Amino acid sequence: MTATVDETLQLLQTPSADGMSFEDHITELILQIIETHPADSTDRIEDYSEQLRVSGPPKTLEEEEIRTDDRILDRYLKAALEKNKELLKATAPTAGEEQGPSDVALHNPIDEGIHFERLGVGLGQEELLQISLHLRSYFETQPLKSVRLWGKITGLENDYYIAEGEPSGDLGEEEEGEEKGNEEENAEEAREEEEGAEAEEELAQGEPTIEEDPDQPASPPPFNPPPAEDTPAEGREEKSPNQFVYWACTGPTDSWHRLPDITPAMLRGSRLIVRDFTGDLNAPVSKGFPVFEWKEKHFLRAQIARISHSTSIVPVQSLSKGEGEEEEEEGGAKRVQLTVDLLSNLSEWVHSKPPILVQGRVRKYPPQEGEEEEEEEAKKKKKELKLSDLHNCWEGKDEVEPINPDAKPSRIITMDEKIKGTIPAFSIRKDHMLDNTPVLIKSNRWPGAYTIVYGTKTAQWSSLYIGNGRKYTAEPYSLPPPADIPDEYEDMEELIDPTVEDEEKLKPKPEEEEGKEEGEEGGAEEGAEEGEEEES
Amino acid sequence: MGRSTLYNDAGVIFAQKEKSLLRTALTSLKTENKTKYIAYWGKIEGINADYFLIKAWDEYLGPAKYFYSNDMVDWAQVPEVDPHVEEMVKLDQSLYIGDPTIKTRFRDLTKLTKKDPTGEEEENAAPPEEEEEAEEAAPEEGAEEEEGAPKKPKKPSNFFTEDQRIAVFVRQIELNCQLVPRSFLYLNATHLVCENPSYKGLSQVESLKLTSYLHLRFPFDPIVRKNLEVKGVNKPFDFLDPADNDQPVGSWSLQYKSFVSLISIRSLLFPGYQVFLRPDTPEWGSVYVGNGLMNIDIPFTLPPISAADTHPHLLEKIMRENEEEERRRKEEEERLKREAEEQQEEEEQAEEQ
Repeated sequence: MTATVDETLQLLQTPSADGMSFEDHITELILQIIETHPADSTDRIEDYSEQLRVSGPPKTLEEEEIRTDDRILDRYLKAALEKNKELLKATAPTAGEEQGPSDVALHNPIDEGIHFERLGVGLGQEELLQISLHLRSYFETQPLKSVRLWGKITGLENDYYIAEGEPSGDLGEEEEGEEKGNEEENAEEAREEEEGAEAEEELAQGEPTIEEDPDQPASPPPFNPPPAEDTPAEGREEKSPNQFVYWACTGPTDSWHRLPDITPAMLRGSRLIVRDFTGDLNAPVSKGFPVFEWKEKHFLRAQIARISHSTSIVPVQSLSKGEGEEEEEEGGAKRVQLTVDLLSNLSEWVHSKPPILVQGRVRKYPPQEGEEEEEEEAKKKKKELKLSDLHNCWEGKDEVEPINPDAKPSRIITMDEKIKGTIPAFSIRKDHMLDNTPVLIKSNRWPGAYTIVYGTKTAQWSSLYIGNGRKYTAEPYSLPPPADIPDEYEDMEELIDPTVEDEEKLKPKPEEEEGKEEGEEGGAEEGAEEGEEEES
Repeated sequence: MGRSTLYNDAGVIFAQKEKSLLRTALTSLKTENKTKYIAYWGKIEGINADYFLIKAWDEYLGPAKYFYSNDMVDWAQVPEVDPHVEEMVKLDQSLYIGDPTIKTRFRDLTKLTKKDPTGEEEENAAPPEEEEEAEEAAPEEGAEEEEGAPKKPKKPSNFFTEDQRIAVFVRQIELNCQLVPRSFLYLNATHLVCENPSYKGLSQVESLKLTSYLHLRFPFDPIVRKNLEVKGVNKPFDFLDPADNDQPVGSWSLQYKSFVSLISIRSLLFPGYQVFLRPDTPEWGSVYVGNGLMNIDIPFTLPPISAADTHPHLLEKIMRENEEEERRRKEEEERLKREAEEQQEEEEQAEEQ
């Protein structure tokens, strides 16, 4: 009997392959159950057992080895933390001192974010805070009139946060500063590419500055922008697509990259494709048909322009007093009569920006003179465009009555052409819980474009875009038809083949010909020359 | 509370009112239906109203009930999927209107005739009026079919209601998108799928791989299915399809947001669906917030790169960067060491002189 007990004990105490005997295992198991007091100990016994087998008995902190090869994200976390600290530090003293208030009017996305959140849209709190701080720390020193967080565009590898700034008159300085900033930022990236693009950016703006690239004056930019054709890009005029300058960054740890100005060709190109953003500003966009020969930053800029021009709205009442544009930016500081309740009606809103025409400009180029002509043109255009209507609803389709971009905005948003004939361009969301709660107006054509109205007595509004930068058409994408086949070469005039006799007639006799030629030439100038040569 | 922070970090925003209503709804629906699990499923945004959806289930991979509501107060169950309706609506690209009872006529695009859009002339038509119009117009066009439908089951109705459409869409998401982190579920000895009580979250490396995310559906892959069906096979975690084999290649976007320390995986096939997960912690969630449309343009929207590169290569990128960083750090150290040595030598030489 004793022998069997010993034998059993030996069996239980023999360590298995992992160095732990059955006895140890059971002991640990019972110990763990006693220690952790699980409510369902019998259910969890296999689980505990497996845990023990895989990871061994629980280790104390000292015993626990930190496996470094597993913790590959720590560098990112650290960078984010450091950046966070830096941002908080940078903003703390300025808030207290209020010494040098910057000239840049910074919209506070956090305040607006609270109102957006009340209607269930917007960015996460932490995300918003960090982006706001990042925005402030970078743009405070820029020569801008105002800056706001335009929105977020999702991409495959990264999301873009977009800042919209209105440059204050002096563009040259700003660009230089920007160039420097960009160069620093992109030091790690493919430098040549970036500079090429930068040069291209300059070209696109029609303000080529050779001093910008002193390092590499000889090397031609790797990418040559196509000729701007007959439609030049618009400048910084009010309501033009280039009125504002945009920056993009992929997060608080990334620096802000300025996006190039838009050209009509890019706008036209961007209408023909649907594409998800990759998150890399220098990625190619569409190499196949239809070609979009620029880079992703150009495509991003084009989409921003399209979204802005389609979805910027402003209450019609707010325009009756002032000149419009500035007030729109100020967000209703002066107005008293505007209440949220009044503005929770879609017909109170008008587009604050004119549509971008087919040619990719807001103001027609070349400028039209007579109104009749314009109308005719518009009619013609309308006829021509019927084929491509699918892709170009509203934006990109010139309206029958051309809109003067410089006039007061008057297009009520409910009058927008409906998507596929049935879906209104804008929807509204109200929250009836309390009085004067914010109202959300969202675009159906560009899902993710939100405008919010809030405020207790006087209404204020702000807009934000959070989406993937794609237009909603209610139709599957179809490739645009290929370009027209070029006209055939005009037929040449047909002539009757000459007969042998005719040829013979025309053919001079060889001897005669030579004699004639010699005689003629000798009689005129050449003979004299020859003579001179012979003499010499 | 921790969970709502997780959702907030992932960019899923709830209005304060929604939060409290949702909490009530989850509790009451769970007790009413006596289900084991209940969770917020997502939101489908419509023109006039949005649909909030809740999923209730007893068993993973088992049948589930879905509830929808426009206002988060009155909840109704999503009907069963009608295969006929599924045929009609699965590729539909029109937005949801926001009224579950509204009937829409299916128009076969292959038989589409040219017709002027009716809605255009009424400029100020408020959305409700439009609905009426649609409803009025519908019976005129297909009155016979509609009346005949209930009597003659052979000729199914050309109309579908919006809740039917929701049912189809929910099913599509469940089949194509719904992911769970690997080891969150396990197959116990009796081949029941259970939540793993010792789930501690995915490690940093694991969380960056698509293979660590499994489809919460009856597996399509025969080998994986064998693990689930054949008794006694001891593979407690590999009984579901991993996400890395999904078609089209590159239909998942995987990102790491360091400032909120969150991995987010978005579907490009169904834009709006995302799984978010905090590495090294058991916190994770998945939600759909979008228009309720499938991205049928996906062949055109994927970036112009070869199929091999379309997979998320964040992990490789980070590894490469880390190696680079490590190398740079070592070089820097060596350089400093060398400099220090040189300096020492110089000093020694100076002393000797």
